[in-house]
Amino acid sequence: MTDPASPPPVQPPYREVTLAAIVLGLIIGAVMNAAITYAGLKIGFTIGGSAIAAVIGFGLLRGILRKGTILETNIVQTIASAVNTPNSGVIFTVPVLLLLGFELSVGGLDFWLITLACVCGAVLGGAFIIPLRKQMLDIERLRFPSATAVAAILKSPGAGPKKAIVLGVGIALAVLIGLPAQLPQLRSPADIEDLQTLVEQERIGRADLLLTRQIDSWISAQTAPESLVRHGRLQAELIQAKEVNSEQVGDLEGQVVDAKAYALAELRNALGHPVDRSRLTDYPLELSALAHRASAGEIPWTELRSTKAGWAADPMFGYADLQIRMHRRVDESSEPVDFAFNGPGENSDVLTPYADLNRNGVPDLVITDDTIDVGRILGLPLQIQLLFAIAPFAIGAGYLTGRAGLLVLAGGILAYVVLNPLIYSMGWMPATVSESGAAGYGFGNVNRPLGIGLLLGGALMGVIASLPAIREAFKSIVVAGKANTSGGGGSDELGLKVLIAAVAGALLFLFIAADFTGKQAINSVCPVSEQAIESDEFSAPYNGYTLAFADEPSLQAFLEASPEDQIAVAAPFSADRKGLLSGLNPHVRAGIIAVIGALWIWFAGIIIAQCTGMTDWSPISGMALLTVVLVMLLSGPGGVLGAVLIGAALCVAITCAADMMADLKTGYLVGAKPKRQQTVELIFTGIGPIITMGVLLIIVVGNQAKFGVPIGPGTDTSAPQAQALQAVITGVQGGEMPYTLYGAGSFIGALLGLGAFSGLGVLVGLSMYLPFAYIATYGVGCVINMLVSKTKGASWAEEWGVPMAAGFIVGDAVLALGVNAIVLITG
Amino acid sequence: MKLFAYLLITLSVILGSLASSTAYLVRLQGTSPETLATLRLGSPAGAYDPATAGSAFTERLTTVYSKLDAERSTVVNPLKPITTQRVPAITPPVETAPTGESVLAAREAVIPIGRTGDRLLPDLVALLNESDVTFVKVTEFGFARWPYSWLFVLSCVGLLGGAWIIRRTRRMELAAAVAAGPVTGKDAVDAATVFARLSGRLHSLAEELAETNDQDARLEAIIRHIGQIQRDDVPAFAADRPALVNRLSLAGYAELMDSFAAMERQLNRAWSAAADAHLPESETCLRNAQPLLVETLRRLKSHSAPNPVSE
Repeated sequence: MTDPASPPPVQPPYREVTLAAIVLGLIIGAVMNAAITYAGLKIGFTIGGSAIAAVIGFGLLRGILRKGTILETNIVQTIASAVNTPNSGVIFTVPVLLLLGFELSVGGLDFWLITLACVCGAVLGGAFIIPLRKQMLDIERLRFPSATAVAAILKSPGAGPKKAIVLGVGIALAVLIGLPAQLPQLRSPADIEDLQTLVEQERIGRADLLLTRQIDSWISAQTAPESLVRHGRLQAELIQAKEVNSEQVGDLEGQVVDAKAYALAELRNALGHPVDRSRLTDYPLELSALAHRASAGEIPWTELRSTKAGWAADPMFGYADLQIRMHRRVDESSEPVDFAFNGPGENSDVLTPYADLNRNGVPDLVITDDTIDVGRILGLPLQIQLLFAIAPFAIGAGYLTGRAGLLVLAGGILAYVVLNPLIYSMGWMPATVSESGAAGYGFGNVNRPLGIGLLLGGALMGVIASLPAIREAFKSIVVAGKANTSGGGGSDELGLKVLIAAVAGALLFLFIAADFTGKQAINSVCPVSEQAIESDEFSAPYNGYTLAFADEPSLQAFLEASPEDQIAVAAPFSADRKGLLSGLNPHVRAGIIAVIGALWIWFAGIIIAQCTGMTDWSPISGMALLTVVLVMLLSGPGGVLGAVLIGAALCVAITCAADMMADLKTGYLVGAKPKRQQTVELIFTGIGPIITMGVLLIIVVGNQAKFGVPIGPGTDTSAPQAQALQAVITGVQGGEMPYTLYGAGSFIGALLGLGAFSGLGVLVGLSMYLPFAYIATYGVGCVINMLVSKTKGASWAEEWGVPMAAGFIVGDAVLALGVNAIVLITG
Repeated sequence: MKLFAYLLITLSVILGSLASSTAYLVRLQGTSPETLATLRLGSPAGAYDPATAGSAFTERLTTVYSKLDAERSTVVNPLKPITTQRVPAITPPVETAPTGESVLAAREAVIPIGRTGDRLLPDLVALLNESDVTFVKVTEFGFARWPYSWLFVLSCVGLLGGAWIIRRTRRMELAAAVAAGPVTGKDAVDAATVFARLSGRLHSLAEELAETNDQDARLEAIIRHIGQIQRDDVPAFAADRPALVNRLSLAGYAELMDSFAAMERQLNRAWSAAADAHLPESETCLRNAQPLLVETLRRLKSHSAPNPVSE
C-alpha cells in the first residue's frame, strides 16, 4: 500500500504508554476519585471520569507539554478512569456497615479487610472481562456512547478545525443548558430580608425562616438560649467520652437527648404564634455545637450564620427560579386554611390536587431545577408520568445510541405510561396510593424488581445466543497467543492466561474471605446483656453463625437457655434464620460461595458492560443489591458483615469490568493496542479502592467529631445508595424481598431475547429499572439522531452529530465535576 | 407479518408485566380463612374515612388492631438481666396550633384498614370484605394463590410466538434478498460491495502515497482516505450483520469480524498517528492492515454460497 522506496523520516517512537501519561492519569484519577466519592456519598450517584480525564489530559499533554499524542492521551484517560471507577462499587456497599452499627477505623481489622477485598475486586473485574473484548467490541460492536464521545475528543485535533468547533459548541451548549440545573446545588446563607420571598418561591420552608430569624437575633445579641448552649456542651462531652470509651457514654447519651428536647421546646416557645411553634420541629446538631463554642468565646457569634447550623440556604440561580407553575385552580369544596407561605393567622384558598400535589397552597412548578413535567403541562392524568430530565449528557448518549435506543424509550413508556396507570386503575395498588403516587409506587414495587429480572434474563439469553461468537473469540485469542509464544506476529491481547489467573485468584480470594468472615461474630452487641462487645473471647456457634457475648455469664445464660429463648435473643441479629448453605461444613460453604461469587463477577460484569455498551446506562446499584442478596441467601441473613465484604468486592469487580470494556472501546476507535491498555488498567486500578476507603475514613472521622455519628442521616453525607442497600438487607432479613418479580422478569427477559435480537430483554429491563425522566430525555437524543439521519443522511449525522453529542456528554460531565469540586471545597 | 409479531410481543410484555405485578396479590373472596390467617400484608389494604365509618366499624377495627399489636409485642429478650429504665427529663410544655397543611392532610387522609405487616385474621378479612376490597398484597408468594398466573403463561406463549414469527420472517426476507442479488453503487449496503469499496479506497490511498514524498501531503491523504472509510464504509459493513450472520452462521460471522476488526484497528491507529504527524507509525499500520484486508476478503469469499436457513 505504501511506497517502500521512500524511507520514512527519522522520528522518535510513537508515544503511547509514557511516564507523563501514567503520572497524569494517576493524579487526575486520584483527584476525581476523592471528589466523586464525597459527592456520591452526599447525593447518591457517581459520574464516570473518562471524558473529563480525556479533556484534562488533552489540555495538559498537548496544550502545555506540547508533546502528547492521541494514544498517549488515551492512556491518561484509561488510567484515570481505572483509578476513579472503583469508587461507585465501594460507596454503594461499604457505608451500609456503618449504618448498621459496625465501626471503621484505621486500626481496625475490618477496614483493611474491606480495602483488600475491594482492591482484589478491582483487579479481578478487569481481568475477567478481558477475554470478552473481541466478542463485545469486534463482533457485537457495542456502541458505548460515552466511550465513543471520549474517542471523539481524542481525535478532535486531527479531525479538522470545523469538527473541533462543533465539539466546542457541544460542550458550551451542554454547560449552558446544564448550568441552571446544577447551580442550585451551590447554596449560600440567605439574606435576612429575602427569607419571606424564598418561602413564597418554595426555595426554603417556613421552619428555615423561623430558625434563621432566631439565629440572627442571637448573633445581634451575642448570646443564645442557655438550654441550647447546654445541649452543645453535653454533645461535646459525649463525643469526648466516646473517643476514650468512657463508661459515662450511656448516661451522657440520655442527657443529650433530654437537653435537646428541652432546648427545642424553648426555641419553639420563643416563637410568638402557636402555628409557628408547630412548624419548627427540629434544629441541626451543629447549631447547638456552634452556640456552645460561641458562648465559650472560642468562635465569633457570626459563625452561627452557617447553613449547616440551620441558617436558611439560598440556592444559586436554577430553572426553578423561572417560577413556571401550574394554573391556579381552587378546590371550591375545601375551606381556606393557614399555609406556610402566608405566615400564621392568614387563611388561603385550597387548590385542587392536580394544581398542587404537595398540598402547600402554592401551584406546583412544572419546571423544577432539573425536570420538566410535560405530562402535567399537557393535562395528562396524574398516574401517567411524562417527566423529562434537564440532562444534556442523556441527549448526547441517546444521539450516539441512535435508533437502537428507541427500544429503551419504548420500555420506559411501557412501564410509566401504560403499565403503572393500568395497575392503578385495576385497583391492584393499595387504596392508600393516590393518583400522583402511582408512578412512585409502581417504580419501587413493580418496575424496578421486574426490570432487574428482565436484565438478568435478557443477559442470560444474550450470553447463550452469543456462545458461538464467544467460542470464536476465545479461539482467536488462543491462536494469537500460540503465534505469540512461537514467535509469530504476536498477540495484541492479554490472553487466556490472564483469565485463568483471574479465575484462580478470584476463587482463592473469595474462599479466604468467605471462610474468614464465616468465623467472625455477626454481632457487635451482646444478645443477652445488650451491651457493646469488647472482645471476641466469649462466643458460641449457632445456626451456622458465630454469636459473640459480652462476658462469661451472658454466654452461659445463652447456652443454658431453652431453644425458644435462644431464638428470641438471636432474632434481632437474624441468627434465628439459616442460610441455604448453613448446614454444610464451614470450609465447604466458603468454597461454594467462592465458586458462585466468581461466576457472578463474570455474569454481572457482562450485564453491566452490555448495558453501558448499548445505552450508556449502568444498573450498578441494582447489581450491588442482587450481589448482597445472593451472598446473604447463601450464608444466611445474619451474616451481614460477610455479605457486605464479599458484596463490596464483587461490586467493585463489576464496575471495573464495565470500565475496562468502555476504555477498550475508546482505544479501539483511536487504534490503541488493547494489551497496553489492559496492562496499565490492571496495574493501577487497585489504587482506586484505597483512595476511596481513605476518603470514606476521613469523612467518618469528621462526622464522628462533628455529629457523633459516622455517616447517614443527620450528617453532610447521607449516603443515599447505602441507605437503599440497608433497606434491602432489612428486607432480606425480614423475608420481604420480591423474589417472584425477579423470577417473572427473568422469564420475560429471556423470552424477549429469542425474537428480534438477544439484547432486547436487557434494553427493556434497563428502561424499567431507571427513573423515567432520564429515559425520556435519552429518547429525545435517539429521535434527534433519526431525524438528522433522515434529513441530512447517515454520513452527515455521523460526521457532525457525533462531535456535537460528544460535546454534550463531556460538557455535562465537566460541569458536574466542577460543581462537585466547589461543593467539596466550600463544604 | 413482522408488524404483527412486534405487536404480539409488545402486548405480551404488557400482559406479562401486568400479571407479574399481581404475583403477591391474594383474592379475599374464595381463599380459605385458614390460608389467609397464615399470611401477612405486604402493603396497606383497603381504606376508610373515620368521619363516615360507623362507630361499630371503628370499634371492631380497634379490637383487631389490639389483637395484632399484642401478637407483635412479645418479649424480645427474655434473658436480659432486669435493669432500671431511664426516665426522660421533663421538658417545658409547648402550646401549638395545627398548621394549614396538617389540617388539609387530616381532611384528605386515606386511612388504611389493614396495615403493612398485619396478619390476615378472620376479623380483619371480614372488615376488608365489607369495604369491598377484592385483592390485598401479602409478603409470601404461592403459585396456587397467584390470581393471574394464567395471564403470565399466556404472555409467555405470546412472546414465544412473536419470536418465532420474527425469526421466520427474517429468514424469508434474507433469502429473498440473496435471490435478488447484491445492490451495487454508492448506496450499496451489502457487505461484499461495501468491502470492495473500502479496498478501492485503500488502493487509491496507496497510489497517492506512491506519487508524493511530501510528508504533509502523505499525512493529509491518510487522514482523508481513512476518514472516509471510518465514516462511510465501516458502519455500512457492520450494518449488514443480519445478512452476514444468515449467510455465514454466527460462528462464521465472528470469524470474519475478527479479522475485519483487527484491520479496522490498524487503520484507526494509522489515522491517529497521521493526525499526530507521525508518518512512520502511520505507514507501519497501513502495512499491517494489508494482510488483514486479504484475510477478511478470503473469509468473506469462502462462505459465498447463500445459506438462508442457518443461524
